[in-house]
Amino acid sequence: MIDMGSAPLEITINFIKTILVFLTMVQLVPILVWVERRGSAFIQNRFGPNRVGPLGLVQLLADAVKFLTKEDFVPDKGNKFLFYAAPVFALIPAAIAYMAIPMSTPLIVGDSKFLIQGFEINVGIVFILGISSLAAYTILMAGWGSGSKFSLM
Amino acid sequence: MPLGGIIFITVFIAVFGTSLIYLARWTGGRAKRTSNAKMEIYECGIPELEKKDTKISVKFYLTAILFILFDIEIIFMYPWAVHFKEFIAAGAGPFVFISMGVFLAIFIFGLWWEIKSKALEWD
Repeated sequence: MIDMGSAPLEITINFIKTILVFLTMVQLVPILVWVERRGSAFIQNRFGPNRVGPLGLVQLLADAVKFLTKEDFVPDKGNKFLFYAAPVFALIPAAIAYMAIPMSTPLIVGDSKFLIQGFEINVGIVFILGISSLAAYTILMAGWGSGSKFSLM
Repeated sequence: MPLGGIIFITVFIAVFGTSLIYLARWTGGRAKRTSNAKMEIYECGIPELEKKDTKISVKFYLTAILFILFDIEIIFMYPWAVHFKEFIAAGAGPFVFISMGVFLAIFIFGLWWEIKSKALEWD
């Protein structure tokens, strides 16, 4: 593969690392949603989620179970492929942008150098800005797929 | 560019996300058509007036193209500005400055022509 290391061990570790960084990002989602909901609730003098678990921390887990048990729905006039594909595509720019963030100094074991990030990139900040602007198209995709002018707007 | 990593994570997310969508379908089940109104698109409860792919005025495309034209011009000016001092040190300052002047003159002529042909006016 291109730029994934030279030795077989290094390439394997790089692939596993890519998945690990992605899973780290996915793990961040519940806590960030909790911070957003609870934070904005306190700003507006409300309580926010405080029933499920300590301080409402497990709220998103309960929400995930609820989302999984909702029935699968596409409007009649929607574009079925775009409607299903939009959430999948929305993950891609987010994950690629997150991979370019360096977390720590590189770890050097023997001759191999392991970066504590998804992949090293020369102009990371421009790359992150460029990739995250691609996320707008996935939102457009979801709006178009639903077949509703209101959602598209 | 670490193209290998980008391609790998794109494929991985495509598989991961698709399997999540199928998991949701498996656990939640397909939507049952209990009424025709349920499957309609939602536009604040009123019946939909036009189709989604309704006609849009061509003026939007004109404005968008003109915006892109003058937006991309900026991208050419960034590297010029970054390397300008090196060009001065190399003794090519006036040539590079006049080059950018000619480039900008063409663009300002374009802007003048745009205004004159009333491309920036809405009606």
